[in-house]
Amino acid sequence: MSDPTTDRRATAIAHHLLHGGCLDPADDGDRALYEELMGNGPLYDRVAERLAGVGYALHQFFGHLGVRPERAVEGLGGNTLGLHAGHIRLLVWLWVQLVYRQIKAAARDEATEPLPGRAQSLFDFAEAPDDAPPEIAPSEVFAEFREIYSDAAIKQFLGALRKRRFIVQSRRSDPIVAGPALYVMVDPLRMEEYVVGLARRGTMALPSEPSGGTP
Amino acid sequence: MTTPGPTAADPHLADPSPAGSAPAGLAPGVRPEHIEEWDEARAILPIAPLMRSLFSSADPGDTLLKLVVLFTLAQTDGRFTKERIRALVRAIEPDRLDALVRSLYDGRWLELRARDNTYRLNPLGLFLLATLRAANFASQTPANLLVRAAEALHFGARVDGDGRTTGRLLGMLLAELETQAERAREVIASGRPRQLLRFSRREVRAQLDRVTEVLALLEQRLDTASTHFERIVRLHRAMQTILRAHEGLHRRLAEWSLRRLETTDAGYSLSALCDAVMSATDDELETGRARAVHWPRIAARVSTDQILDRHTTERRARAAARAPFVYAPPPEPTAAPIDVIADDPMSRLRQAIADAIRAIEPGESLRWGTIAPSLTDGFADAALHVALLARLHGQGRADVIRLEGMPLRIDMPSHLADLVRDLDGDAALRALEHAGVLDDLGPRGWHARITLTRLSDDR
Repeated sequence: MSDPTTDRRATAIAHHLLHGGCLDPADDGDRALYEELMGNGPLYDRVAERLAGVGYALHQFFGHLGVRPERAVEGLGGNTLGLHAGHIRLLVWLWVQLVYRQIKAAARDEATEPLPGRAQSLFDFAEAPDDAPPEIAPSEVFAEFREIYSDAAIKQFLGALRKRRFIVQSRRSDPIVAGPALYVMVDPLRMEEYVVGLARRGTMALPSEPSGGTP
Repeated sequence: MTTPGPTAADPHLADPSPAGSAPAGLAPGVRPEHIEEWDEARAILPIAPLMRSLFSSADPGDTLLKLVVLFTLAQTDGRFTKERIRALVRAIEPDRLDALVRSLYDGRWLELRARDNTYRLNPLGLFLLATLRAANFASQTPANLLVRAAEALHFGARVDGDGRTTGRLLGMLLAELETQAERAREVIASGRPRQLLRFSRREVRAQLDRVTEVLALLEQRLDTASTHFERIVRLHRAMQTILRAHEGLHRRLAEWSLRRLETTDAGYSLSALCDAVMSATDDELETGRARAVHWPRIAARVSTDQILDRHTTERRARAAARAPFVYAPPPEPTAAPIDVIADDPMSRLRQAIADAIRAIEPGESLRWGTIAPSLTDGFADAALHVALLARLHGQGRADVIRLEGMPLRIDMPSHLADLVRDLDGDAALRALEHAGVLDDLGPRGWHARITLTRLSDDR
C-alpha cells in the first residue's frame, strides 16, 4: 500500500533529479538526499517508479546517483548539452582515465579473495589503501590534447565539462577529478564497448599487433 | 563453564591478594571482599597469559584493577568522561584510577573521542571481555567479531541463566552493534568502492541473522518487565540501522555491474584506449556521444503560474521596450462653470415656473399641470417637483413668492372629503378632477390642481 508521505517525497526527489541530472556530493542537500535514498529502500523504489513513468531510469555508480533516459526514448531526440566533438573527445578520454581506471581496479579487487584473519572488525576499512578516486593533472590533459586543439580551446572544453559537473576542479590548476555526471550520465557498459570498438578498429587498421592486448 | 586452573609457574596466575591483605591502590578501608567485581576479575586470571600482549604491566594487581574498571564500564551504557569513571569506580583511588584509564587508553582498551573527551570501550576489548566471561576459547571458530560476540552471548545465556550475566553480555553486544551502526553510516556517506566491496563480502546480512537468532532466544527467556528489555529494544534499533545501510549498499553494489564490465573488457590497456580516443574522427566521437552520454530533459519545465506571471511581466517589459519613456506635462484641467439649473432640481423648477409666468400677464393664472411636462415624464420626478414646489411655497410670505422679481401666488384646493366619501377609487378620482381638486397628468400620475397666479408687480 502506498504511503502518501513517501509518494510526495518520491515525487519531489524525482523532480530534483530530473532537474539536476545527478546528485552533487559537494552539496550538503544532495548528500543528505543520497543518504536518505540509500537508507530507505521503499523510497528509492518509489523514486525509480516515478522516473520510469516519464522515460528515465535511476542509476547509481560508484557512490553517485543520477538519471539517464531509458533506451527506448533515447532516439526521440537527445539533449546535446551544446557539446561538440572536441568536448566529447576530452570527455571520453577523461572517462577512460578517471572512471574506467577505477572500474578496472575495483573489479580486480573483487576478484581477489580476502586473506583469512585480516579482518579485524566488520566495518574496519581503515587499512584500505589507494581508495582515493583517480585524478589527473591539467598539464597532462594539455600535453595530450595540444596536438589537436589550441590551449584556449582546451580551456573552453574543460570549462564546459566543469560546468556540467563531468569533472571537478576547485581551481583551474588543481588536479582533475571525475564529477558525478561522469559517473552517472555515461553508460559504462556502452562507453566501454564503444571505446574498445575504437581501439579494435585502430588495431585492425594497423599492420602490427596492438601492444595493449588481444581484442 | 570450565576453565583451566592457575598454575604457580606463571606470575600472572599467582594470587595477588592473599586473605586479609589488599593490593595497593584500593581506597582506604576498602577490602577486596567489598568489591563486587573482585571474584570475577580473579576468575579471569587463569587466562592472563593470553591477554599479556594487551596488558602492559606485569603486576597482576594492576591487571585486576584494570579489569575492575573494564567490567564496571562494560556494565554501563553510554560514553565515559573521567568524572563519570571516578563516580562509577569509587573503590579505586582517583589518582590511581586516572593512571589506569590512561594505561587502558594507551593499550587501546578505551577509545577517546576528541570532540568531547569521552571514552568508550573498544569493541575488540568488549569481545575479549565477553569471551573471558562466557566462552571457551578452545571451541571458538575464527569467525568475525560480531558472530563471536553473538556466540558468546548465546553461550553465556545458556550456561549462566542469571540476569546479571545476560545483562552484561547484552550491554557488550549493544556497544558493538552501535559502533557498527555508526560506521555503517560513515560508509554509506563516504564509502569508497573497495570499502563497499569488502562490506559486501563479509555478509553482514548473515551475521545480523545470527544476532537476531540469539536475541529471539533471549527474548523467550526474558519477560517484558525485565530490566534488559530496554537494551534489547536498543539492540533492535541498532540492527535496523545496520540493515538499512546494508540494503542501500547492497543495492549500490548490485547495480554497478562490475562483473559485466569485466567480461566485456577486451584486454586493452588504458593507454591503448586513450590513444584510440585521440585518433578517432569527429564523426565517430559524435556517434559515441549519442550512444553513451545522456542528459535528462524535462518536458515541461514551467508551471501555469510561471506562464501567467511571465506573461504579465513580459507584456509590460515589451511595451516599455517598444516605447521609450519621454516626459510630457500632464494636460491642463478644464474648468467649466457649473450649470446649476441643469443639475439642481429646485433651480430647474424655479426656472420652469419663471418662464411660464413670464408668458402671462399679471392677474392671470396657470395650472401646475402645464408646467410639469417640461420638467419630467414620470410620476416619481413629478412627485419630487410637487414636493419642491411645496417647499418653494413655504419659503414665501403670505402665500406670495417671487421668482425673478415676479410675484406669484400658489393656490391649492382645500380638502373636499365629502365628495369622495361613498365613491370607489376610480370614480373618486374622476369626481375630484371634476371638482377641480385633482388633475390627471397622464404618465406623471394624479396630482393636486395647483394654480399659479401671477400678481401685479407692486405686490
